[in-house]
Amino acid sequence: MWLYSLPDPHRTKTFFCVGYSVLIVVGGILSSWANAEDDIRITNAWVKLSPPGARVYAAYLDIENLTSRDYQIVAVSADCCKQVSLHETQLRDGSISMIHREHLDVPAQSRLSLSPGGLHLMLAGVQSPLKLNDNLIIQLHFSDGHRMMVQAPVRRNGDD
Amino acid sequence: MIKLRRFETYPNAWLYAVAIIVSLLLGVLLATQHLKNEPTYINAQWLPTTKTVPDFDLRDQSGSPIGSTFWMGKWSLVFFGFASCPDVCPLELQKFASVWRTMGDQANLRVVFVSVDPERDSLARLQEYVTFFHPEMIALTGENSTLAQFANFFGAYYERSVIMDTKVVKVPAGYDMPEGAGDAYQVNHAARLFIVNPEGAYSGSFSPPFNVEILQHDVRLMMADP
Repeated sequence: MWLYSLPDPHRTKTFFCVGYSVLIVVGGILSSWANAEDDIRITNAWVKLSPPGARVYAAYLDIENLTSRDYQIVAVSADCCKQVSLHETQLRDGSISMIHREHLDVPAQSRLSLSPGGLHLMLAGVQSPLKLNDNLIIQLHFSDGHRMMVQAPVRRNGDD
Repeated sequence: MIKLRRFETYPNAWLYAVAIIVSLLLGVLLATQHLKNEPTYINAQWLPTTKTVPDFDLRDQSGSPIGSTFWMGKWSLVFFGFASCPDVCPLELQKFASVWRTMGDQANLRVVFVSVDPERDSLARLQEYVTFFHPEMIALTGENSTLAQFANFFGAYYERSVIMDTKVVKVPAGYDMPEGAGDAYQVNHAARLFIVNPEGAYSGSFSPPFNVEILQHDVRLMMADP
């Protein structure tokens, strides 16, 4: 009804104020959404072919956060396996240990590399043993609720 | 008389002569040392005295007990680990196998993988595991108590840890995994690559991080050493 009374200058002001606010909020949400999708880049994803007896696999990838927001990966899942954990291999005092990480931080304008002998995704509980050149879908779950999917081929080495 | 007078003019002549001769000899010695240009080890570290590996009740991947002559006649590169290790064990074993291959698969060299996780690493599993890296690679396994003694002989640390009822339970070397531990537990283990010489004695080790070229260099040198 109040649309009919637009000529009233007070009403007009209110209309524009509300309109702009809505636009800003919606635009902000949309742009942050778009940012997350466009400006977090996942590259070089691959899964290391494990020996037949191993039953667990390691996956590696690079994450680049080009946004001005800090992101955090809180969980990972893959279509091949029951469980995916965030792990870090540490070499200390001549001994190798595996540290379980609850989350991975990807600060604004930074790059995080998951590579052999360091940070990696451990894939356990595979439905059937992975073969060379199989393609897995790995899904990264971020703390803000959004998810990103990446395809990771099974290789012997990262540079194959 | 003249000679005597000259000698008196230089009372320290003998001292000078000796000093010059000693310097010359030292110079020649250093020069020959330098010219020989003896190659040196880059990574390998050697024990002051070697330690003969005693008999341990271990089995290879086919289930055969290793006899007392197991360590004789070959250079063995010994690595401790477990088959459910997705990241670092395969990475390192791949490097060792590559060194072995580039040495021309020499009959007097081999890589021995010692599993410190007998609960999960069955003989069949170990067989599949090591063959993946090299058809001749040997896997050793045994009772937890024997494995602990064997690792201790090399000074190789390991322990297993499992989360049970939200608590981290550490299982030291030599102990069986507790009931209900499941099969999703961690093994922390020594990262060194131990060397057993063809006389069956533990003689040194390589330390991480491992580089294939450096290992090749040192292994070649080690095997050429009489």
